[in-house]
Amino acid sequence: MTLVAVTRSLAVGAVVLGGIVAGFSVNRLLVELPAWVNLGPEQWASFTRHADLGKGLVVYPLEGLAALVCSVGAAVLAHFDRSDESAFLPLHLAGVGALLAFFVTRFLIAPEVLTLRGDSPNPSSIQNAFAAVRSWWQLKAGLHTITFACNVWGLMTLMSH
Amino acid sequence: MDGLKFLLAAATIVDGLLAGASLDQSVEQLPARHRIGVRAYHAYTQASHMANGRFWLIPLGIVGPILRVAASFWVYRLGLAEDAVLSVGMAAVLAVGHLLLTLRAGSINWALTPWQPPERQIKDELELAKIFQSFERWQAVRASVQLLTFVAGVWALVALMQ
Repeated sequence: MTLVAVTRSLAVGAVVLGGIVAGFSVNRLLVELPAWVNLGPEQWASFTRHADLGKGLVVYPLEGLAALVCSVGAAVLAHFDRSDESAFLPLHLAGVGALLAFFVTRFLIAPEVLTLRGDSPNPSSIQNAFAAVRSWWQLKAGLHTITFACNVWGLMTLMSH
Repeated sequence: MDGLKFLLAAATIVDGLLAGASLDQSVEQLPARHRIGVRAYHAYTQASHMANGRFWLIPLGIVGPILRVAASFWVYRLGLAEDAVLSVGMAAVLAVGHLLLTLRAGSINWALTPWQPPERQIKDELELAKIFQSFERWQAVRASVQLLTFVAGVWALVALMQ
């Protein structure tokens, strides 16, 4: 497999995996989190313990990391495989967007969600965790969407040369 | 030709957002009802998918197939390479397929909507569990077809750009 083929494969992977991550993130921002405002943070905490901290604890980090590796990998390899320079801008934007989204998830959202793991977290800590997750999720969803759009643009540019 | 590329890029973005939302529902949300209970899950779906969800997921589910069908007509009329026609056509067929599956899944879920008259509101846990189980099966098929549509759409984009 040539370096060009590896770059293109990573770009395809970044679009497919990044699209799924963006779709999940935007859906959570627009559909799920507003529902928990109505139902109450304690219901959110209960659901999160069973969903995000259940199967989600494995599925989402794996999916997110794979998307990150593909985005950053395509951006880096494009420099070495003589890809057209017009592909650099979208691929770099996507790589930076994916890295920022990872930092927001890992260092701002995940610690808040993980505080729910205990048997009976107190109501004020649940309230604080919910407010922080809601707030940071806007940035996360925005970054994943920008990354996804840039990866689509980058793939189109890569394939046209 | 540039218009067609833009159309396919837009369809890819719409399909990706839809596939991600749908997979989340099948992989994480629906199974959570076994642990939080069907009544709590029912309240959650009424406050999420049947509230804000209808303004986000329904438009995505309709716009995606429209873009895919429009793109397939366009490609056919341009007389492009077989690979491009096949991939764009396959994405369109799959998109129409998930639209039909949405109609089926939606008809099952309709009984659980908050717009039902009081005498038809379902409160019985066994009845709720049965409806969610049936919905889950159709939702799994729908999510798979939506994912395949997205993947076929990416293939179509690659085939057209080469």
